[in-house]
Amino acid sequence: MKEYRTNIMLCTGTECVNKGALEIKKALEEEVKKRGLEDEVVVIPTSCDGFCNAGPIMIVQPDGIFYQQVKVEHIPHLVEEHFLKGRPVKSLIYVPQKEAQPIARMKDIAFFREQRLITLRNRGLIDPEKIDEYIGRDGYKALVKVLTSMTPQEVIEEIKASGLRGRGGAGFPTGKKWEFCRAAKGEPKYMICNADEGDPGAFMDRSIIETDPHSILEGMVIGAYAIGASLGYVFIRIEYPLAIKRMEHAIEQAKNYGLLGENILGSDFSFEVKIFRGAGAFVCGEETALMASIEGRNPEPGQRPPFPAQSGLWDKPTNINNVETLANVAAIINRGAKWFAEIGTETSKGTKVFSLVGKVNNTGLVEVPMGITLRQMIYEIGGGIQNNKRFKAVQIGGPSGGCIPENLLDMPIDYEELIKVGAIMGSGGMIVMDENTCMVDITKYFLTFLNGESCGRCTSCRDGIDAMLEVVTRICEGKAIEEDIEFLEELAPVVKDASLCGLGQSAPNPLLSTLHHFRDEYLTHIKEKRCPAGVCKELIRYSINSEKCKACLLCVKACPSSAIFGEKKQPQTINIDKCIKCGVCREICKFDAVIII
Amino acid sequence: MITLTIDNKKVVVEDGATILAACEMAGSKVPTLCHEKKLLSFGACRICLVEVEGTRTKFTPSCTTPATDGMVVKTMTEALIKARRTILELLLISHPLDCPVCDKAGECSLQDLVYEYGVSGNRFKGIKFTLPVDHISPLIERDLNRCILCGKCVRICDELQGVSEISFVNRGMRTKIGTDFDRPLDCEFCGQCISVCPVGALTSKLFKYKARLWELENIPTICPYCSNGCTLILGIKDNQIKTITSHDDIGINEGNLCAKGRFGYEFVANPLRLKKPLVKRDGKFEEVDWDEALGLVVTKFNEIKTDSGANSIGALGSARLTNEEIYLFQHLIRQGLGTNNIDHGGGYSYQGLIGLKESLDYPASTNSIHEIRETKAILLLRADLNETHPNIKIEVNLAINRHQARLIVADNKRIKLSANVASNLIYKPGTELTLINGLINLLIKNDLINKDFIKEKTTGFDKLLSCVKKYTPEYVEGICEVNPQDLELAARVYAEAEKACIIVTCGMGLCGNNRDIALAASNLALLTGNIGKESSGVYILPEKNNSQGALDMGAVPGFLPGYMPVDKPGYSAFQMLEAGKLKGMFIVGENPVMTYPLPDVQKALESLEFLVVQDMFMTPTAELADVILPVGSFAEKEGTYANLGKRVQKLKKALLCHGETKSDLEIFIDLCQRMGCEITTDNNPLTSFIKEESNPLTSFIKGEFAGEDKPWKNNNWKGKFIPVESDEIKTDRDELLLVSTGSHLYSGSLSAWSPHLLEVKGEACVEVNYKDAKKIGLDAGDPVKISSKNASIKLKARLSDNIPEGVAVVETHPLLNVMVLFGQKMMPIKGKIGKE
Repeated sequence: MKEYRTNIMLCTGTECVNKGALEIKKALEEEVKKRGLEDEVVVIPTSCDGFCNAGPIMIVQPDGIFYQQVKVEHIPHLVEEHFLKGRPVKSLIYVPQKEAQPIARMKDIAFFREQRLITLRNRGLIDPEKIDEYIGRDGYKALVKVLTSMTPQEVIEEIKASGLRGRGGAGFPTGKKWEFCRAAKGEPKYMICNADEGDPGAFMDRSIIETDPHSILEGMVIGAYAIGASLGYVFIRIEYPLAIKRMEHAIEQAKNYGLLGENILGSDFSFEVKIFRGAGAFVCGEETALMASIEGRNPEPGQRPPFPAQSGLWDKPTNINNVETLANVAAIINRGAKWFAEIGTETSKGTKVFSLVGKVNNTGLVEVPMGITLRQMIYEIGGGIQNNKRFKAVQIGGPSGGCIPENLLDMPIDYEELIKVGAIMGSGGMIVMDENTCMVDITKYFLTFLNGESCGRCTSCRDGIDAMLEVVTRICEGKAIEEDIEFLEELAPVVKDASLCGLGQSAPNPLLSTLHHFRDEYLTHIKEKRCPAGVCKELIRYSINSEKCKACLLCVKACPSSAIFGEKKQPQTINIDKCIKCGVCREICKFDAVIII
Repeated sequence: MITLTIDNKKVVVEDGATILAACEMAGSKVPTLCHEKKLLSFGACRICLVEVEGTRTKFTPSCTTPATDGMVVKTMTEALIKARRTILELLLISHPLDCPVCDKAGECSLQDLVYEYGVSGNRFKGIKFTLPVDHISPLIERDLNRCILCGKCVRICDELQGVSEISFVNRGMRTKIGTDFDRPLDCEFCGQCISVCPVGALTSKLFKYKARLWELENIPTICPYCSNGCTLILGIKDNQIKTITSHDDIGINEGNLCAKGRFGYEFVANPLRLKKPLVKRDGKFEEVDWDEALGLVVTKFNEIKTDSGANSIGALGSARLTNEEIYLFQHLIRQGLGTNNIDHGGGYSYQGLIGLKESLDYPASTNSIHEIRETKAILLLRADLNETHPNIKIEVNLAINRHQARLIVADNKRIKLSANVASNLIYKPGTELTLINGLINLLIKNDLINKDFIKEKTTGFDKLLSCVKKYTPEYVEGICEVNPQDLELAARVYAEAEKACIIVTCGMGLCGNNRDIALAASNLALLTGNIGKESSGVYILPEKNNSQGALDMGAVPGFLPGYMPVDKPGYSAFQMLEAGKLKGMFIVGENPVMTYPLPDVQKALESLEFLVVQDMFMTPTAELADVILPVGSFAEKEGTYANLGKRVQKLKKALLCHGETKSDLEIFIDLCQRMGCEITTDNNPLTSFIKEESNPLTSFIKGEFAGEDKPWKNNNWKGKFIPVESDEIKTDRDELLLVSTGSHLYSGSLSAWSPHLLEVKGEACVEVNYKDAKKIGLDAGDPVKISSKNASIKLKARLSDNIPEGVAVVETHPLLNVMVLFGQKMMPIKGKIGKE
C-alpha cells in the first residue's frame, strides 16, 4: 500500500454526506491535485465519527487535527494553509461553548475524550467497504480463533463470562441466550441480526452497520457456530439504504474470502447470511413480530412461550441478537472475557452506544463505558445545554423509556439503575430536554408514536395506549379534571401488566415516569389550566411586550395568519383570535419582545 | 403428566396443556374472548389473565401459556378482577351498546362478561362506531363497529377452512377485520366466522330480526345434505326453523358447518312445498285425501302386476331417506310388489362403494373421518372437497397445518386445495385409472411397495404386476398429460409416509368410472400397506346424507339389505328408464329429469301407464306423475342416517308435520299394510326399528346411535388386487373434452328450494381456460351452448386458469341438468362450445 505524508480522514456517514461530505471530497481531491500534492496528501472516506452536529468533519492524520463544519468554499484556503504551508486553519477548528480557545486535536475534545470504543472500534479508521481494512485491524481474527481452537460450548462460556447483555433493550445475557438455542432440538437453526431500529431519534444500529459491517458479520458467524445455526438473516429496515448496501457488500466480500458459506475457513462449519428488508413497522423490532415478518405473515408479535430459542422462525430454534450486541462479540473473543468484564458496573459490562440528541451542544453518536453518570454524558460529552438554558430531563430508552429529572443526574447508567428510576436502557436513545420542554406534551408525543405503531392485536395495548393518549391529550388541552390522574394511574399498570409484547408492556413508561417525577407539571395543567413550559397550545397565549418591541415588523411579515397588527414605528399587538400559536414571531424576534403568557 | 395448583386445588393435566385447560379441569372459571378450543391459541384479548406465583410478570395469559409442574395459579385475585374490568372498559370504547337490536344478545360473551364484572359505561370518549355495516355480502352481515378484534373469524377461515377470505387490516386503533379493498365477501359462505364470533359483529342475515336467542328451542339433529353427517342445532320458534347453529361438543363435526348445513334450511318452510296428496285427472292435479291417494297407488300397481307381471314395475329410492325408510321401501317393492327392480342414485352414485366391496369386501370408507387429520400424506383423487365435502376439507387442512401432512392433488383441474400441495397432478379428464396405474408402476419400479404386506394381506398381485407393466411414466405422460417428475414425487410422498390416506369422491355429478376409480385407489393402498391401520386407508366419499345407508339397506337391484345376494337381480336405474321397459314406477325423493344423465328420461316417464312420485316439491319429475305423495322434511321426522364413516345417527323431530304431509316411513308402513306385506318389527318402527339387538339389521350396520364411528376393524381381512384400465378418449382439434364437477349444492333436491343458497351459487357455468376462450371468442359471462353427442345445453361461460387447455368443466347446478351431456356411460366426453 502506498504511504502518504498526510491522510485526510473525511467522515462520510449519513449525516455528513447529507451536509455535503461527498462534494467536499471532490473539491479536496481537485484542490490537492491542483497544488501538486497528490503524492503526499490522500483523502480517505471513513464511516461516521459520531459527532454529527459538527459535521461535515474531517480529521487530519497523523497529527489528529479535527476540522468541523467544513464547506466546499473552505477547501482552497484549507489546502493552501494546512497541507501546503503546514498551518492548521483556526476558523474550522472546534470551539466548545463557554470557552474561547479552540481545541485542535480530536483526542482533546471532550466529546471524544470520554468515549471508549469497542463496538465502534473501527470508526473513522477504516473504509467500511473494504474487507482488507477490517482484516488489517484484526478483523476475523476472532473467527479464526473460534473455528480452529474453540468448541461451541467454549464460545458460549466465554461470552457468558464476559457478562455481555443484549443491547436491544431488555438486556438478556447473550451467552445464556445462545446456550438455550444450542440446547433446543430442531434443525435447521437460525441466527438473526435485528437491525430494525425504530426508536425516534436513534441511529446506533444504522451507524454501526455503516461504519463496520464486518464486525457484525463476524459476530453472527461466531454466534451461529456457537448455537449450530446454518442460516442467518440480517433484518434491516428499508429506510436504511446505505446500511443495506454496505451489509450486502460485506456479505459478498466475506463469501469471496471464504468467511461465509460452505466450510468456512476450511472447517466443517457452514453458514449463510441473507438480508431481509423490513418494511418499516416499529413493532418488527420485537423478536416474534420480526420473525413473522420474515415468514411473510403480518408483523404481529406472538405470545411467549414458546420462546424463539425453542420455536422461532418457521418453528425452528432461532437466536436473535441486536446489531450492537453482535459487534461486541469479536472483541470479546479476541481480548478475552476478563478484559470485557472489567469494564462497566457489577451487572452491566462493557460499553453502550448512545445517540445523544436534544438540547445539548454536542449531539451525535457516543460509545461510553457502562456506569458513566448522566451528568458526564450531558455536561462533558454533550457539552452542556444549548443557549445556557436549564436542564429539565433526559429521556432514555426510546418511546418505551422514561424521563429522568435533574436530581438523578449523578446516577450511573446501567440496566438495573435505569429501571429503578422508571426508564430503560432500550436501544440507547438519549434525548436531552431543557426548560422549554413540557413533560405532558412530551408524554403525549411518545404515546402518539406508540399509538400509531401498536400492531393492534391485544386489547390492552391497542385500546389502552389510545385511552392513555386520550386522557393525556385532555390534560394538554386543559379539559382534564384531577380524577383523570388517578384514572391514568389505574389504567397504565394494566397496559403494562396485561399486554402481549414489549411494546405494550413498556408503553406506559413515559407516562408513569413523568407522572412520578413531574407530577406538579400535570397538576398545573389540570388545576391552573397553564403550561409552565409554554408548549401546550390550548393553554398558552402569545403577547408582545411593548417595552421591548422596537417595531421592526419582522414578526408581522413572518406571521402566517396575519395576526400581528399595529401602527408604524409603534409597538405591535397580537390579535388572539387570529393567532394560531405557531411561535414564528417568538423565534424571529431579535429583542425577545414576544412572550408567552 | 403435569401437576399444578389452581386456586389451592391440585390438578393433573397432560403435557402441553395450557393453564386455561388446567383451570377448566380444576373448576375455576377463567373468562375468555379470543380463545377457541379448535383454533391455535392467539392471546389477543387479555381477559384470561391469571396470576402465577414466581413469574417475572404480574399476570400470565392462561390461554397461551403451557402449564408446568408445580405451578401455583390464582384465577380470581383483586388485581385480576380490576385488570379484567379495565380491559372490558377498554373494549367498550369501541363497542356500541346496541344490545337491544343485536342478534347476538343473550349469547354474547362480551355482554355476559360486562354483566359479570359490573362494568357500566366507560370513561373514554374515543372516536366510535364510524365503520359502515356490510349489508351487501350475501348471508353474512358484518358490523365491524361491534368487532372486538379477537380474530377468531380470521383464524377459523384460515386454519380450518383454508379460505382466508378475511384478515386483519391496518394496525393499532385502526385495526379492523376486512377483505381486500373492502369488497363484499366472495367466499364459500360456510358461516364458520359467525359461529365463532363472540359478539354480534358477524351475524346471519337469514336470522336477522327473526327471534331473540333465548326464545328458541334448540334441537340437535342430523344435516340432510352431504354424507359427512354433521349435527345441526335447529333453533325453533313457532314451529319454524329460525336459525341453525352448532355446538363444538355435539356431533362429528365439532361445531363446524358448511353453507348448506348452516344456511340451507329455507326449503323446509318454502311456501311451494306440497301439502296434500295430488292425483292427476285429465292432465291436471287435484288434491285428494291420503286414503284415496294411497288406495289408488295400490290398486294401480296391483293391476299392472296382474296384467304385465311384477317386473314391469320399477322403483327408485333416494339416498336422502332414513335407513328405516329405505329398508321398508325395498321391503315394499320386493315383498309387496314382488320385484327386484329397485335402485337409487342412477345406479351410479354408489359404484365407488361397490368397488371397495369387491376389493376389500367392505363397502365403505375404511377409516373414520377424524383419522384424516392425523395422517401424514393425503392423496385427493378427483376430490374437490371445497365443493363436495367441506367438512372433510377441514380434516385435510388440519392434517396439513397441524400434523405436517403432505398433500397430493390428482384432479382434472386445479382445485382450491391445490394451493398447499406437495405434488399437483392435473390429468386429462377420464384418465384416472391410467394415472393410478402409472403411480403403481413407479412404486414397483422404485421398490416402494410393502412386500410383506402384499404377501400376507392380499391376493392377485401378479395380475396387477402384469397389468401395470406398460404404464411407464412416459406412457402415462402421453395419456394423462402429467409430468413424470410430478408423478415420481407423488409416488414418493404417498409411499414413504408412515400413514397415508386416499380420498375419492363419488356421486351423480362426477363423471368417470366410480367403481374402477375406487378399485384403483384400493390397489394403490394395498400395494403400500397404507390401509387397515390408524389414519391410513381409502375414503370413498359418497354424495348424500344417507348414501351409505341406502346401500346398506339394499335399495339396489343386486343386493338385499346387508348385502345378501338376490336370486335374480332387477333392472338398474338406467335400465328402468329405457322407454317401454316398464309400465309403472314408484319414484321416492329422486328427480331423474333433473339429475340423470339420460336425455330421454322425460319420454320414458311419460310413456309409463302409472307413475307415483313421493317428494316435498313439485319437481319436473313430479309433474309427470299420476299420483304425488307429499312428504315431511328431515326436520319433521325421526329415523337414522349412516354417514360416510358408518356412524349411524338419529334424527330428532323438531317440527310438526307440514300441512297434511306424512313422513316417508308412515307412507311405506301404510302401503305395506295395504299390500298385505308383513312388517317384522313391533308396532312402533319409528323409533325401535334398527336399535333392537335382535334385529338382524343391527349386525351389518355395525354402527351405534350417535355414538362412535365403527370403522373397519376386522383383522382377518384380505384385500384383492383387481387391475383396472380404461380406454383413451380422443378429441379433435375443434373439440373440447367435457367433464363434470361436483358443485357445492349438488343435485338441488333441497338447495333448489333454498333461495339464499341459490343466490350464492349464481348461474350455471361452464369453465374453460382463457386460451380456449380466446380461440372460441368467448368472454367471461357470455351465454354459451355446449353440445355433446347426447345433448346440448345452454349456460354461462366462466374463464379460469385452473382448467387445462382443451378441457371444459361443467358444474352441476340445482336448476339445470348438465349431466345429460354425458349419457349413460357417465364418462368425460368430447363436445363443442359455441357462443349463443
